[in-house]
Amino acid sequence: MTNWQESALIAAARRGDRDAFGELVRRYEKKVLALTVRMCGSPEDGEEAAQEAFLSAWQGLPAFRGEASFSTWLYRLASNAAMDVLRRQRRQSAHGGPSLDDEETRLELPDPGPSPQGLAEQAELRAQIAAALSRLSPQHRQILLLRESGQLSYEEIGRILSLDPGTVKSRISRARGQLRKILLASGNFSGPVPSNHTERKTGRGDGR
Amino acid sequence: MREDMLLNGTLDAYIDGELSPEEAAEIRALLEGRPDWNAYVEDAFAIREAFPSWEDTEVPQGFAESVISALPERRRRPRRWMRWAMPLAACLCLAALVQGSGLLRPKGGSGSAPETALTAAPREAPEEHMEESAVEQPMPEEFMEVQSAASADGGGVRPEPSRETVQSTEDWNEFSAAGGGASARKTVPSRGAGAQTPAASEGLPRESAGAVESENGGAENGTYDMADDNAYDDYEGGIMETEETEEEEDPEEDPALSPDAAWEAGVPWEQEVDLVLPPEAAYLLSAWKETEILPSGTLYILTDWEYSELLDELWGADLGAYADESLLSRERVAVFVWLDRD
Repeated sequence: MTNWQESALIAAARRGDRDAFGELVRRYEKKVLALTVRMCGSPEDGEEAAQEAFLSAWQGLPAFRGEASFSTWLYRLASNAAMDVLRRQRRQSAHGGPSLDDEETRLELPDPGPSPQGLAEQAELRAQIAAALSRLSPQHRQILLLRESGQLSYEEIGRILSLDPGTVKSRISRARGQLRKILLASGNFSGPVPSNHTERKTGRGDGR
Repeated sequence: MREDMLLNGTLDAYIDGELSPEEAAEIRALLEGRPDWNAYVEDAFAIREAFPSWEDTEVPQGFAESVISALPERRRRPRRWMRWAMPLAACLCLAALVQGSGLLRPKGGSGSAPETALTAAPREAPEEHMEESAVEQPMPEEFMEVQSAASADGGGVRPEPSRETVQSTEDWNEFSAAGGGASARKTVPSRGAGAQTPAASEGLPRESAGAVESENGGAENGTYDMADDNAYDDYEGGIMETEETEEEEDPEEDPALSPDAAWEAGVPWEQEVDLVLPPEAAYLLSAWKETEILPSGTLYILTDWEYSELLDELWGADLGAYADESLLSRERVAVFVWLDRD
């Protein structure tokens, strides 16, 4: 879909065209769900948050000014919806999960991960990362998902989370550091990478 | 490069490609002598490689459909006029078709090719048409109230200059005949015309399903040929609301006619105006793709709802606050307001 097509869909949806909005939902459902499911930690809660995000988008489209891209705006709604779901969970839960106000992870939690044996496989490492993500604070999980899964720039993340670029940078640094710490502490992560990895993957726009 | 850059996020900015080429080169040079930093970077890339991708996300079957089915109705401004506008539109279209088919010969008809329903200004016999309309579809009570209000006011003031009230064709006729169109401030030549029509010069609507121009002796040159207008292709019924052509006395005198002022003055629904638009309002227009470049400017076809949005955007806008005037776009805009299609 070209930008023009998307703009046309957005314009139609602004006017109340449900079919056009449905197309936008189909276009973004995967990305939104990727964020909300991992933010919330369960498919059910993630779907609820994603649905809320899209409903918010529908209601908010008339006020959408296009100052940010539609996808950035949608990420913001999804991120907020996921945080709302987590807040509801916290209120409903007797013992609660990670505090939304606490950016630090709870490293003292028992490691729920599998045996370190054989974790060289990419799929297993992926599972480890997913498990480690669930142990991060919501804020750290949120910003890492936006960066690594959403492949958004610091500027875009700043817009979504209403953070200045310096805060984005420092929060990503802390989140990444915490994630790495969890993985290393679990003994499941050795971080083997090709020698030219750094050269290949850095630079503006890489991996986006 | 400071030793604590790993802590302050510079190394992460490097990993994320947020540094300039010069900064990135500096980091790369430093990494050679710092195995701890190098390990951090290498680990970060390994994590990225294995990071759950959004493409791996499983979307529940029927998720989009469930979202769509759960969409609430948007809060909309009440539109009581819809109840009379649609029947009125049907009647006027019928009248135009009858004329086009030759069943109803206009007084002094030229015998030219039949006009389409939308272009068909029954230019010479409006009363006949309106009588037919009245027979076919009695005027709803709400509309009669609007008419009488306009008459009682002498037409000089729009009965309810609110966003919920729309004038009908007849309403506008009375309004204009009583001098109510005087607030119309300028006319820009219509497409393909260049010449003002009698209707235009009187501040009267150029067309509105026929009945309006007919009272003013026709207005070929000043009328949009809607049948030829591709922009109307997806129009799904209804009728264009009351329109007006404004007096072009001195185009240089007042280049920026505020839609707000037009609204408050009771200027009807079609306008050709010079607008000075702040970026946020210009975005609204640019997002609405139903546009056509005309000799006199850009034609934007807006629903009443969109038009309200535009007015909202311009409401109270302080154009003087824009220090950079290049941010302001100056456009001659023909704004048509159509019935919503949903």
